[in-house]
Amino acid sequence: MKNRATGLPLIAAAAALSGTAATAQEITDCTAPAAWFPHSQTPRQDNNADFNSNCAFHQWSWNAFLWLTQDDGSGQPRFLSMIPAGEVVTGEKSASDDVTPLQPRTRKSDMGSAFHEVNQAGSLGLLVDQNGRAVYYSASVNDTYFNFAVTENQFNIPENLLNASDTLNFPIGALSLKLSWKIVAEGENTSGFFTMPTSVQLLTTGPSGNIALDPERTQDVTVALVGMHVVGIVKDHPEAIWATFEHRANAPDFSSGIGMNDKLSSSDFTFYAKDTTAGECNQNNAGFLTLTDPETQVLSPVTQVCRQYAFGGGDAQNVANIASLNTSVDAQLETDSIWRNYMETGAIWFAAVDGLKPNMAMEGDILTGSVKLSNATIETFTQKVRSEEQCFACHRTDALYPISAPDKVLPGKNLNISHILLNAYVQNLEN
Amino acid sequence: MTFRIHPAIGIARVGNGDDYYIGPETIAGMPQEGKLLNGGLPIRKGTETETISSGDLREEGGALKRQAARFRIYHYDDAPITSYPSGAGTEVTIGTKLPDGRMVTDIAWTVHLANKKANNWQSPDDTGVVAYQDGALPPIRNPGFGGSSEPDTPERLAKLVIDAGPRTVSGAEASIECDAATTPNVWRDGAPADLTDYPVQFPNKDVFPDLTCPSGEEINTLGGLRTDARGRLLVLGAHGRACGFAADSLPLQDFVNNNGWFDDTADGPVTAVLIFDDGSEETLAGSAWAVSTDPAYAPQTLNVVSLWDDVYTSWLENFGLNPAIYDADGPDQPYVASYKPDFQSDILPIFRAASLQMWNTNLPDTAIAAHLSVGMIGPDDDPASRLYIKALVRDPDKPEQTSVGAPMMPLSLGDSGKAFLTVSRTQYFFLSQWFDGSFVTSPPVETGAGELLDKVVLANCLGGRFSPGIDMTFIARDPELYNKDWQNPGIGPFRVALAPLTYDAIDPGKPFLGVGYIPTREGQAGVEPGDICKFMAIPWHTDYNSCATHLPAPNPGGPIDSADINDPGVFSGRSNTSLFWSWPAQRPVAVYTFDDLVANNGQLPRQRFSVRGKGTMAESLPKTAGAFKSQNVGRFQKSEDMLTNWHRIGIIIQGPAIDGYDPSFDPEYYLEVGGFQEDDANPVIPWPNTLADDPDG
Repeated sequence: MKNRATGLPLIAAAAALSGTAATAQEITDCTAPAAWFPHSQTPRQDNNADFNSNCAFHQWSWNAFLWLTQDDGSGQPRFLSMIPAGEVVTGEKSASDDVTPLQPRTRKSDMGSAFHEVNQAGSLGLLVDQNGRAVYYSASVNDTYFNFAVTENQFNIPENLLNASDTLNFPIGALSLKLSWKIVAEGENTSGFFTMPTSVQLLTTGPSGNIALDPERTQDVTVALVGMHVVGIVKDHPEAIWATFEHRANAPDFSSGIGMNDKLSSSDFTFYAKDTTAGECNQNNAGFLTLTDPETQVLSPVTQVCRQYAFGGGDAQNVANIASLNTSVDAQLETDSIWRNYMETGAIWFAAVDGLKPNMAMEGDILTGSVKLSNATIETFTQKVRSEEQCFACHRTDALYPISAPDKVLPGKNLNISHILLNAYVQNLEN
Repeated sequence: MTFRIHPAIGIARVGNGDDYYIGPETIAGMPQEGKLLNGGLPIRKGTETETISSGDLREEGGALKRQAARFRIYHYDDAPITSYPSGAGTEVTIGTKLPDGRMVTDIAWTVHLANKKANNWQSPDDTGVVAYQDGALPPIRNPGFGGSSEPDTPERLAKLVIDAGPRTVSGAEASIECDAATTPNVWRDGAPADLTDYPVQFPNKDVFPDLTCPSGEEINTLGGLRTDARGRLLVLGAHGRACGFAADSLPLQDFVNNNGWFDDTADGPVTAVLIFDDGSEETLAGSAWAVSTDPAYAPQTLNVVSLWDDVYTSWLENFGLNPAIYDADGPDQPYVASYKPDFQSDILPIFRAASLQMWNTNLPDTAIAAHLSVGMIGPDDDPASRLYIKALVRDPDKPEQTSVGAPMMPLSLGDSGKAFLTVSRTQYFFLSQWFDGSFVTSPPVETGAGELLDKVVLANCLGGRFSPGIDMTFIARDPELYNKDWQNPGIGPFRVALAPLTYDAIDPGKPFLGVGYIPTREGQAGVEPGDICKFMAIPWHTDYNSCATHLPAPNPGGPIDSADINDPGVFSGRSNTSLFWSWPAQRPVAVYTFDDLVANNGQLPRQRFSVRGKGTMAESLPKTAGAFKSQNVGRFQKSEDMLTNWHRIGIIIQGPAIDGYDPSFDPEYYLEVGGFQEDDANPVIPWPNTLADDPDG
């Protein structure tokens, strides 16, 4: 092992080799193909593969993550060259050399794209790291997504999305990402993380006491990648495979039978202080979060994060396959690869072929894979809510009721599964 | 010609003041043609329809006014009633000249209020009427009192029943109290006649040496009667007092069934005699019923399932109330597929109710938008585009859906073994017809003025979740509660089956009232005074206090059990740990205050808990091992604190009804006025909040 990332607890094995995973290794042969390595030669994921096993979906997920994190020749991982989600809203794709994709953007229509998002999915809470800083989010899409949504169908115009057939699906190969970033404190050891410099909008306290971003004030910072959703449409699965990856040091998992006052770990994690009890984890701070120091941007209270469902739950085979793949990729990546410090938390998709229908119920037997999947840094507060504990609970095909224009309902459709498209609808209604 | 009293059931409400306003006669939250203010506002004393403003809610010293239930008499022809509504009915007041030439010179009203809560069976919180089926009975309250647990023993009937006896009132602007100090009377031979031997029963220190009344005042009245300038009847609630009679009555131990306690809510029959200018009298064949209960803290918030929805469904399904809608002998299904409900009166109230829930709950912005959107649905909108009910509204005939929380609606708790609330079968039928485009935009039959009162009063009360509820409970669904002779034009529908009350045969020294009505029992004598309120919580304050938000019960994944080391249910994903509302339209949880709105320049401020005075802060975790305190936010941590603070809870009314409301502010805001000045409660967290969600809760 050379140049192994330092500063990280050696939890990779611990997380993967929990009791469940140990059992898992006996029942799976789900591994990363040798052809994916070295990382520089990882092929693009095959969106038309035969998705006929649980392993196949997870292999697609890991393949996609490796391909996205591969150096695309620019010295940067490929995912940084994807199209910011805000451009689906504007319908204007920046020339690749026109603006660095992760630079702060100033137009209102770009809200919700790169680094202009702090709110947690499904709640008004903010994830506050151990330094008191908010975790920021960015989202992006690939060319297939953008060409379908904007170039071909101009869904950035609300009328067009409104009139789209309710059974129209995204094309195979459409891909979208949501990433979570921790702001690196001065002197903080980030050797185990993918980091990059960027600019973030600063937080301010709104008139009703809410914490909001101030588009007029930005700060140059270094951010560290802590989570990534990889969502891709593949053959027979218009609902998409919803996979998520996390930095291995993010948070401890809940264990079976844990009680309210039980401590999860005696070790510190990026978003967990050692000896924090289960009852103190994942507490939504909407309603009482305060910006204690606007200058340093320190918020209170700090959020203690725990992963409620290791591997996003699912059956033993699902858990085994993810654990096995995580181990397999870890073993085959270059020993100095920063990406060894990231793991697949899980992935979820439909048990049925072409099962996506407008206004359908998103629960029960239709779901398979990691059926209680959340990313501890992106869905911190909703992972414990029965009605919001997996991707499809919120990524649905029923109607959208815009907050700013409740009468401009977007009726139920298959396309509503993508919130990037829904954001475009809502924001362009306002423009 | 025949006469009937309306509403069939009138609702009075307690207040710690003496003054009063009149109960609303429009449906909560429903648009009123040509008016800025929507329905549900109470009516200013001394007026026909003038609605109150915020200044009318309390007396000068801050005491909460009482609500009067206003009763009127309507005349009808003698033909049997075949269907509700009939569209008929003309009001009769003092001075009315009837079509047959007679002039009404006076109306003598008689009301008999009582409270039998302490001698009733426990309110079965999660099972409702099921606890009475097949001859079963829940455990008795105050077991062993006077050496007996049988409710028909004389000592229990004499001491545990509060009975004011009958009171009669006649003429215009008249007044009489239903209290311990005055003598009961009835209308007899053309004049009031005192019943000097009537065994009036109120708890006092002579009977109960340990009597403890936290408000400082004993229960010495169950309310009062007034008449207005035209001889209509106003039944006033009492003063919201509660007294413990046992040596160990404090602290209060239970939310619903506290032994050793009384409160001063009440109910009883309303009967009337018309006196004509030819010297004749006519005693009305039928009766109405007065119920006094909790204050209306959010009178303009319509319940998604109201008491009307439960009563109406029960009547359609059990009594053939309207065979055009429900025909048990029909060829296909009982609900008639060809029936077209009226958008305005049958469907819109459901949508409006949904849109109003945001003012009393901690809904997040996305849910508020969806609810507001539903409230905007008009008859011309495409149903499938606006509310896909088949995926979003629970079907009451699909029991499995009652175990599914969000996104299925209504997002409130259910009762009688159902984890989540469903609309009534009639409501679901109407919604389904709307969804299929089978509805009309004007009612097939107009509703008569008196018939409308029957509906409006019940529509402003809680339905759906009778555990036990606020105004009336699960007995509203029991056919045995009602007078089945509804097609008799002198009786009419929705009437409580009044037991014979023979005031001519008073046995001095013995209790007048018996055990009375028992749910589901066929062939019983009828319903006595005090038989309606007796199924409610005792005292009501503890139930009101506790019923902010709860886990589902039964929990679809099994109960939370902090003692079960292997599967406590909190984090395993087995149980549903989200907290849901019980009765938000009747028991507000989270509110926007008018003062905060002003301070925030007309923009909606952060919410506060409705119940937020001193003693409402829930303890922090993890101070107490195994404690799940997030259920305890927005309530007094000690139940007894509600006994002395219930009247300090603010009232939520529409902005333009608030004195000094800036006309530039949104007129569709519903804001709390006159609530707690201090805020010692936990912060309000937008739903979905879960067990142990809040570090302070």
